[in-house]
Amino acid sequence: MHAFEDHRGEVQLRLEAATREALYAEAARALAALTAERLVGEPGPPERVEVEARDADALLVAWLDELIYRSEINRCVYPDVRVLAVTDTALCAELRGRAVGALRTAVKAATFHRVHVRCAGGRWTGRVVLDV
Amino acid sequence: MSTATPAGPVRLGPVLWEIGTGHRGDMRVPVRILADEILIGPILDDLSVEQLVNVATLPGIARPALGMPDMHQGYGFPVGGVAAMRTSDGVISPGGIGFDINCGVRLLATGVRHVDVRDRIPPLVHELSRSIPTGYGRRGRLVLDQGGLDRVLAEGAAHVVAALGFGRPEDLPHLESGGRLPEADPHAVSERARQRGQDQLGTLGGGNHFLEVQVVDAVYDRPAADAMGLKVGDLTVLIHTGSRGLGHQVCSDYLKRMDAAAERYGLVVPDRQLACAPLGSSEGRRYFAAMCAAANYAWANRQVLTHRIRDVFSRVLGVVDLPVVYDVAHNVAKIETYGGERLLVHRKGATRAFGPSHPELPPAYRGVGQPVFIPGSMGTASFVLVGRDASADVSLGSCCHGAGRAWSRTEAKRRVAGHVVREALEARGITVRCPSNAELAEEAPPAYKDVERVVAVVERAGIAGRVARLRPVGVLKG
Repeated sequence: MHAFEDHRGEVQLRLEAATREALYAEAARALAALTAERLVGEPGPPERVEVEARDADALLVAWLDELIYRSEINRCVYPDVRVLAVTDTALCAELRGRAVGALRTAVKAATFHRVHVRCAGGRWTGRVVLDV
Repeated sequence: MSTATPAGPVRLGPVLWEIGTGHRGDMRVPVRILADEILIGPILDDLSVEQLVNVATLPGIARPALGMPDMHQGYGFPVGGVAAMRTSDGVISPGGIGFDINCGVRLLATGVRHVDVRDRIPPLVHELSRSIPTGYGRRGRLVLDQGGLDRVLAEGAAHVVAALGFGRPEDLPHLESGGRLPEADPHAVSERARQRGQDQLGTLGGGNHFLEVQVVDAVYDRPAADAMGLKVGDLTVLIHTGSRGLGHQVCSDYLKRMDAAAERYGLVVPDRQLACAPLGSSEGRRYFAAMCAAANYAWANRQVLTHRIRDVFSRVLGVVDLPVVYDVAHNVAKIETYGGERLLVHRKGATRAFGPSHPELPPAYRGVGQPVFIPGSMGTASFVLVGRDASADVSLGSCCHGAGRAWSRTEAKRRVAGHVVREALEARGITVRCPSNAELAEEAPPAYKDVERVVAVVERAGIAGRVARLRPVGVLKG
């Protein structure tokens, strides 16, 4: 699950999932939901993505930044994500893009501000502030 | 992290507050906030003061960390934050400039009387919306090859004027830094940033970017208004946009690099978004060069937009002369001299406000002062001011860049519906073009602080003096 939380000027995204893979997949779905009010067309061809970072928190930032970059270049969002493998410092996923019918919010980047990815009590949680 | 003392800011003057270094053990300098007794309230209610205290811990910070009257919580630096570092041993922090490098504002005069063209404003705004791509990721009509992009990154607005015919040479002196930072190095800009910037020149972007057609409805300083070509009843055009995806990518790229390099430089920051590197390091130098390149891209962007706007005014109203009043950056770091010391001044949601005797002013504004723009929210007034010489001592030659947010985006969407905002603006005779009702709600007038009060604080602080008030008659938003 994901929730967009109050932040004075930007958007704070909170994530929760049963597995680490599901957490990063949920992050992609949340970003797509924030960006697009309406999707059109069929899912595009699969795109394989590999992302690395120095730790789990930075990996969430790097993952979202990768999706933001691809969204802008390919003019689509990525609600359809299959995380193939993820560790503290690397992630491999397969994405399918969907075209944006109506824009909701322009997301510039993910920030390092208060970012975290944690596992506690068998649940994975994440938090990241997005510059919009 | 050191423990903070519970005491709040101490009032030093009618519009000046300070938190001393005793507040937290890791502060290297005090924090100073420019606000009156009303504006200080919302500033203390969010995390902006804590964020400014965090800024005050950065290595090499040479003066108090400053909060402008429109300050509000950001990420890392607060929005409306200013920090000056010694060039000898200070750091540069991409978060102190922001993702939208050289987001800024440009004002055009028109010499057209609103009363003569009142019924042509709707078709004018409609034609502007057709000619100017808005919204996230939108592409422009101008696609650059690698060589062309290199020239834009190196030369800024001057290149699109001289080589591509967008605008006139006489526009350039009216742009901050002549629309070009010479320290730019296109090779410091990544391939990803280039891909994003290749086809975005001449686009507005989304979020709080806008283009406004306005009427000058008051003049307070006749000689300064004359120098700027502003007369009561005349139309003006205000453009707010920046470096688009290219700038965003530059910031992301270098934040990641500096975060990874922090241990090597022995840097520990209280907020990871304050990732930084010594200005003299290879990461610091390279980021500064890339930041300058992205800033040049933004000036080129606003120059192409100026050309498109002139074209529309020519076609719809038969007007050919829309001179540039001025163009200011509000997310940038500049090397400037204060008290004989060379400092790197980070301005995050803050602009320059140089006084009449500053040597960097173009001839038109020597003896007058640098034009300063404080846009209100969509639907409220914007103000034009001139910088005062006293700003150098009061605020490191800096001013706020707007009214500052009072509500979060979530709260704004909860309290107002986008279509209601649209109807209310149109009922006041303001033609609105904005495709997203959600963004309209986020940018609704009540979501921002009282711009008149913010301007009053700026004047009482001695930073700048008001010249004119501009009222919107047409709004184009991303």
